[in-house]
Amino acid sequence: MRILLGIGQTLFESSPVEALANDLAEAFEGFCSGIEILRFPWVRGDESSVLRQLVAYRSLELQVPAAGDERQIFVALETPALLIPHAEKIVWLAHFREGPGGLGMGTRSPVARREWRRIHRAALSKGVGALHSMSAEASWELYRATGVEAPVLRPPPPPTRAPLPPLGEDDLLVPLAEVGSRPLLVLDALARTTAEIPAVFAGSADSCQAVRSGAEQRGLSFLVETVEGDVKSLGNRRFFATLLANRGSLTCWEGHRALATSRRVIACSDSGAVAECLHQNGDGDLVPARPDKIAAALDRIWSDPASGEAGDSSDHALRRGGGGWATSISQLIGVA
Amino acid sequence: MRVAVVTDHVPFIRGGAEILLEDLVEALARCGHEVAVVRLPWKWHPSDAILRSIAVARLIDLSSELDVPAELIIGLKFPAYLLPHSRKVVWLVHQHRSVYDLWWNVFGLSQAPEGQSIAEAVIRADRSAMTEARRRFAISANVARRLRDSLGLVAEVLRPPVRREELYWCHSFEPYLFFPSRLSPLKRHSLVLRALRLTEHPVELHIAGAPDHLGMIRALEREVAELDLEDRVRWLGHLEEPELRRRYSRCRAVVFPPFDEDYGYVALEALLSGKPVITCTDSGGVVDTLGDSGAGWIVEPSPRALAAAMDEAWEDHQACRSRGEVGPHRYRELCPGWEAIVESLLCA
Repeated sequence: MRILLGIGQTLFESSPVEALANDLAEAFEGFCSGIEILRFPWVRGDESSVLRQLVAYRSLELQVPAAGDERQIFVALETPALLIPHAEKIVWLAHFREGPGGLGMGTRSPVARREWRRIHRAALSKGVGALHSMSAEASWELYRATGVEAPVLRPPPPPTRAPLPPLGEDDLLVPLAEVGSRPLLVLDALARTTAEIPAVFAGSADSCQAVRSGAEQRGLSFLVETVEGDVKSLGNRRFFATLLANRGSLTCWEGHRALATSRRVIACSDSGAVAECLHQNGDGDLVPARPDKIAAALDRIWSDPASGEAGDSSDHALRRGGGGWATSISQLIGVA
Repeated sequence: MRVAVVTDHVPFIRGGAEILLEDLVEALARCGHEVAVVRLPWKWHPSDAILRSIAVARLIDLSSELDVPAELIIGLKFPAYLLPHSRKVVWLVHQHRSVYDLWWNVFGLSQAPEGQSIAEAVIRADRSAMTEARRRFAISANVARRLRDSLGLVAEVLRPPVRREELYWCHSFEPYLFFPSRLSPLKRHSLVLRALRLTEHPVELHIAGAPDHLGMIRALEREVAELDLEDRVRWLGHLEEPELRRRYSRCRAVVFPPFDEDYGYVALEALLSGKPVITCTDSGGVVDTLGDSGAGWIVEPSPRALAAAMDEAWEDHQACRSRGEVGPHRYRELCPGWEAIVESLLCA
């Protein structure tokens, strides 16, 4: 069996779904003989541009395997990939957003919005082997826009082959996502804490630069360290706590990684799938995305280091992930 | 400059066009440009799917992007080069050959239902796309010739270099002929197997490359068995680059007789490895690559003629050495560096 992962593409911009698709491709590797990512460009143009693209993607066809060749399954993760007709299509929705940030500027027009909803409803009502979303938030976005229901099937923690580090030291880790990170919110919170909390920010070169200048303005440079790269590039470093302040994460993977490498996890309540997952499992603290609330949560943890350790009890969520993929994939593909 | 490179995408197929795409993107980025790759899925069967692909390509207007528009697009293959843009350059890898030079061939559309009208639509779309391009380039003289013969349009030839050309070398002339290529009907593995059957010497052939689909490899294995060649053919499958270069460096000669090849990286890699190439008069870009350099054998596309060339290469490794020696010089005559290519593509 071969798998095609379909995602959208906005030219010259990084996308969280692209990173997710790469991780999924790695997770799927052991369960199929080949996997490729198909990127469908989306132009953020005017109303007519939106309408043209909707028509185009409903007409597009993917090459089917030759007779005697392996089965080929198309897994669409977001629009416009989910518009593409395919004999073995599965939708596993990472998000369903319209308007700027999700779709083109042209969706501001009532005509384009109406057509956009109608065509998506049609694409999801027929010819889909299985329809799931990765988070309750994605399900809600879909339902609100189209009236189509998609049960939640959360991706299990990413498989990991590297040994996990032992837990806990004194620093706070702040992973910065490519899209939706809020370093200044975290710096404002750090400026309000009673304790002096050393923090390590990990993210792209641009976001690290934003952290450094924000820290300088707030007189926090002596507490702040920046590391260019994602949290995986921190290797075996250990942290006392992780603060997940990124807005609207698509999966809970950030949360799983945090649970595996920190004693405590704090997440903002608008952090999408991360918040859902931590809330559901009772791991970590959820706080509103406000500097004073985050500062209070940090002070609470630093003043009582022994209470409610998440990392130890989580039994390294990453390790738990291995078996989950077989179940998820059979749920996804078995019903197609 | 923000540059979008547009081409097609056929899942799980990887050949020279994919390598060219990766190298071009890397070269553009090295020259300081911001690059995005757009790969439109492409389906050609059944034949009316071609019409839908044309419509899709014409409907996605990259220049209507309001936020971060591409300043220039480079189109490589059909139907992606049909994407409209006010500043477009075409660096043609190939047109949709089923309606042009392969029209009467078994791969052509001449026998397909409504083949004529589909061909007319493709030609019309090609003509529009090609004339709206600010400049046209082709990856080989053969591709430029096809464009001129079919649409009467001129394209300058810009030959892409071989990836990591400096790593090819000639080690020895061991007793095997090497046929590294995607397993695809147009590469004519079957012709080579029938030629191998006719050789007078016990020529050994090593075949490397991934099949376009699993049926291909089964059919070829069957043919090897029917021709009683099991002891003389070795299937190496897909080889990673270092191993591929090692095999080139040690073989006696390279066999590569595709039908009307667009460009033919294989021949260029053989030249860099100092190995002669056995090819056919109708092998298109490979014949252009060898030219009159004497870096190989160019024979009629028949099993008997190929068998004679294979026998000669097998028997006389001194001839292989002297023919192979001109290879690196010939390569340097043909291929400019990536910087020159990027400069040409972007000065539209």
